[in-house]
Amino acid sequence: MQCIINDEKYTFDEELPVSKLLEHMNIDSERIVVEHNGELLRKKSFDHHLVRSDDRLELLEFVGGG
Amino acid sequence: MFKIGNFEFDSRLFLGTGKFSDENTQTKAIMASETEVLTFAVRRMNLYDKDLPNPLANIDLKNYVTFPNTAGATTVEETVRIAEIANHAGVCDMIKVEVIGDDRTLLPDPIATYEACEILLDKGYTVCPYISNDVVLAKKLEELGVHAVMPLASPIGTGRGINNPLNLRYIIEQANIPVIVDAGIGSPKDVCYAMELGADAILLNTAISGAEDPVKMAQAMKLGIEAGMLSNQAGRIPVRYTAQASSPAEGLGFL
Repeated sequence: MQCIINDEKYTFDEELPVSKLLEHMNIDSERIVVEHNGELLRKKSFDHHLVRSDDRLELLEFVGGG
Repeated sequence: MFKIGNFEFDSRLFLGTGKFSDENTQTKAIMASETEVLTFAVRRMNLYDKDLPNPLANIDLKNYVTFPNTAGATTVEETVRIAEIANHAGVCDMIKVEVIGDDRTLLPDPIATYEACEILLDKGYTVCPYISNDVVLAKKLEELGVHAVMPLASPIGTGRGINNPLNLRYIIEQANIPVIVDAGIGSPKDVCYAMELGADAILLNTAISGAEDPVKMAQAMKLGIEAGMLSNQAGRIPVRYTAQASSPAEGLGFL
């Protein structure tokens, strides 16, 4: 299964929920915001929201700024 | 005490969180500033270097009024999208509408700023636009319903201080909403001057994070703001063209 994350292609063995995908990528889900095919996801939906082939994800975070 | 929308503040210093050298310094500077409001930005996560230090990641934003900016946006759509992302994450008590219209000066695009404010107000946000020293724009934004206006002192990160005190005073005098002087602050004399002119609060970042001792500078800025506000309340003497003796002219017959 191939999907696009922050404009880069990533390959996973199979379709997987957002939470598993983040785990695979070693990303702490606490500090990020996920946009899936243009839709902002609630954190509580990470466990059951499936990422499928050709889906687009944006992984965003808050950084220092003024 | 002053209010923006439904939020009440004792501190008149709003602090940006960019460019601190390390987390420890940032935390101490935030404490020293006694700020109640933190500003930050939304960015794509760097997937190649996830361990890149993000000092903000370890600050409990819940303890502050969250004031994300829309920095990086150059269009109305991008501005609204950034606000929606921050709001979705539950860290958008107020939104700093920042739509840059010029790469060299980082001056804001007044038209896109106005349009973005209109949309965000419709969506129920507490909206505070970053603007140039434009008296008419400030008035029109107030009429539109924004909760505060944030005219710049001088361009972002220049540390040049109050560039246009006359326009700033015009903006402050006409406003019935809070005026927060934002950007271009260099040292405590600048924040003191802005508060003397009657500003309600100051938003700054680099002047503290870029100082040799950010913690000490945070304290200095806090005191500068307090001094300027007291001076404004106290009412300063008028500026005169010629000297006026402070000792009596009488009783000099013995000379």
